[in-house]
Amino acid sequence: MNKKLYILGALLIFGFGYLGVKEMSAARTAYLTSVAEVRSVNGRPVQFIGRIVQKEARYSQATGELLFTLEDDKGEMIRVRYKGVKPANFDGAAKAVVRGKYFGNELHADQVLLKCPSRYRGKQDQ
Amino acid sequence: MNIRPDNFPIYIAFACAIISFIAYLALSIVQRRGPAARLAAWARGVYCVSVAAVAYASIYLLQQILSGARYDIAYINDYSGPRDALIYKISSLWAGQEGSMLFWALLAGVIGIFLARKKWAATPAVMTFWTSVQAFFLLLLVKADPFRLLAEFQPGMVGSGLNPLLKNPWMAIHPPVIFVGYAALSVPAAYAMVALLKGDPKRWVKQCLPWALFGWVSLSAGIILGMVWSYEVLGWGGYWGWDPVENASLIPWLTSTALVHGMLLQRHRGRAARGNIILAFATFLLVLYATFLTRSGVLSDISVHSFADLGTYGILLAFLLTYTVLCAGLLIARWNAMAAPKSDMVPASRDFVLAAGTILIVLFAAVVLFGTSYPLFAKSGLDPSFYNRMSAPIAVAAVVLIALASLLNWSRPSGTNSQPWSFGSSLPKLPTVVIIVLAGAIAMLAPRTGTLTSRLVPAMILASSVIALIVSVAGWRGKSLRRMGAYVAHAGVALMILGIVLSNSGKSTNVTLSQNGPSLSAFGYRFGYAGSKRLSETKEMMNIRMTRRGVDSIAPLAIEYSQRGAVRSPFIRSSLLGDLYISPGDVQGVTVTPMASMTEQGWAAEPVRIPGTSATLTLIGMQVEAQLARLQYDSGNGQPVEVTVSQGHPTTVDGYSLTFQRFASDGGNKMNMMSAGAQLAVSGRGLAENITIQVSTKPFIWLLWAGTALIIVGGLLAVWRRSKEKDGLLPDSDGSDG
Repeated sequence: MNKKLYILGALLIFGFGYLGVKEMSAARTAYLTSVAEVRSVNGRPVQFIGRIVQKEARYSQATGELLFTLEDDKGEMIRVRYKGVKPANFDGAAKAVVRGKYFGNELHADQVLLKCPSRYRGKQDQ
Repeated sequence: MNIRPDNFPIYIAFACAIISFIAYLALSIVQRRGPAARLAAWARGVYCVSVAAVAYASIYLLQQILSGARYDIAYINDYSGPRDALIYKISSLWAGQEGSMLFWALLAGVIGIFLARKKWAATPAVMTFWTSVQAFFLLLLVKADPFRLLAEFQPGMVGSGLNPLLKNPWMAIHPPVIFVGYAALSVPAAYAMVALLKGDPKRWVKQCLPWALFGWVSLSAGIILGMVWSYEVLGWGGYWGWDPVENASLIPWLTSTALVHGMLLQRHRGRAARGNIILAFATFLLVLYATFLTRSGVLSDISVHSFADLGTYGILLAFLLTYTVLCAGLLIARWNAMAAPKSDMVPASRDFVLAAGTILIVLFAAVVLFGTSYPLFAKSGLDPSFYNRMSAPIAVAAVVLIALASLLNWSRPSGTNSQPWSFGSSLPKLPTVVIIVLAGAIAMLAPRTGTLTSRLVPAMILASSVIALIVSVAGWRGKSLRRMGAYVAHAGVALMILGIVLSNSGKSTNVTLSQNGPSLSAFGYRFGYAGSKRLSETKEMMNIRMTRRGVDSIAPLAIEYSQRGAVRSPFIRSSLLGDLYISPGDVQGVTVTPMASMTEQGWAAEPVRIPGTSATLTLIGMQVEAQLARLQYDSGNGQPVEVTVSQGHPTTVDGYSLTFQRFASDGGNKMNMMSAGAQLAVSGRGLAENITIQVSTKPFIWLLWAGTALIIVGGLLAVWRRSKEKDGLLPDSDGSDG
């Protein structure tokens, strides 16, 4: 009896592991920090963190899109287009983590996570 | 090292923790009466001094926050401000990284006093472990000093206040509740270590079960508070985003859930002795890991929550590695001494289901741990879809096991179960079957789109959680309140899963409304914009008119601006059928762009008319770095007023609201002249305004909240029962009952 149970358990865990590997490759998003890299992966989901060039942020009422520019460490810039309600505290954010796909010279984001300057303050003080 | 009167108590606490650690270590090595008893009292005294110093430092910090006189302390300057309400001044004590560490050290210190006062042989060994952890925490506080002075402080400077996102009653108590859970869940690890050293795998479980349950309830409550906050304040419409910081607390919660179940298995059937020690260690190490993930800055480029690295990365990593090596080493060395006596287990028994459930929870913990740690070793991360997909089969299995746990009896010592079903014929079979079939059918047929799998999986989860709910509630019958804990909590889990699946079937759409414009319909409502109103200098209220079946109502959406950005509070209309969730976007008025041009005489600016009025705005100065523009407002009567607008700081003048949008420039136009200006959104006084709102439905989401409430109630009932048993006020569980 116990032997059969172990086999059943092993099969279940094996099946679950198979599901895990399958889902993992489907849900994988590359984390990039340079604009050049973002441009090189055309059409695949990427996550990019960059400094918000705030003065270029614009919210278009007509299309419901937020357009802004992010800058990487080397100063290279990329345009981001985000469709959706302008996220809370966008105006005060220093950096943004955006998730989406790059095509047509723009990063089409479906998720925008904002980094508030306050979280970085500790670092600056030291 | 920078000892000042402010942070001196932390150094005292650290030194005392080290001394008491050495004393307890000596005591646990030489176990002799007489002088040992005096040394024990002395070690306890030194430990209490350490805790008192931490308490003093916490109270002192709080006092300085409340007094508002010490904005030269960086922590106070960062997290509190003179205009914050009292409750948020108090909560700023644990809102930031250094303060929360201090508070955690205080809570762990107080729990340690309870442990130190226990008069039994293992106390010195337990306290050796506890004081070592305490010393590590205090070392972190020496490094990340809550009393660090602000280098660029100038007299008269005040703090900008707590982040407005955190100004919410749920969020004010969320961190302390989580920390109580973390601190209490370290107790089983201390006892498990002693059990290993003494080769006694049995006794610690009875002693620790109330602590484990209490820590579990507290951590559950803390996580739930975070979910409520996320739903009610952040305005993104969700309550769980699989963010690394959320996951960091979920992983130890899962292992502690497994631990609680494993401990019950050991109490009732004497099984899982080694497994429980592993789970106790794992929970403790994962709490440290959560601290490491959120405090070391390793995820600062990934998560929105994570705090920046305050130079504690090395200490935290050393902390984590030390205890991992210690726990693993002890476990390997004492593995054979901890074997539980073999007992028979039949598959159709509650013990078997309990064991399977424990393994399932550990499996889920492993999945979340893997996904959360993935970015640390691969230069990529996993989308929330990974967790959503992986948790679907786990949810089905979990609710099926929950149902079986109520339906089956504990196996008899003989190893055969003549009466495996606990209900016999008392379960109302026909109505149950009808309800389950109905739930499954509705779930399958309700969404008219999607693939077979995308409809089948929720249907399976729904049907099985309905079974689990019915069976768990049926288990309440004929039981005293004290014995109902598991059944209540299990009904809560089933209800919660029902709520998650049903609320996820909701829909969402964006609606852009304009004042005096047509009303638009969505989800059976007609929406119209009824204008905005400035409530205070920093708070704006936008009114959305909602009409349903001829009944008008107003949905007020508040936006609060601060230097740290705007907080857009959603409007939630709850009913038995679910929530209607409205997230506010920006109000946009007329766009006015006052410009100045460079001429041979210097900068020159023309007044710009606000369309449709006689009022004008003239640009008189700009500071690009400070994102600020100075303007002259003239209502048309020739008496101009000066106003300043800046990023995130709307200004009101003469009933108009001016919001800074961006700097505009027009370089290289005719004759190489430059012009620059500021684009403003002007609203108020009947100017046409637009607003975009996101409307979504959350069917039956109240089931989720009701379920979480039941989980907490069930957990508290279990704490009550098991602490009575521990103190010998109740007869020991004999396996006759859950």
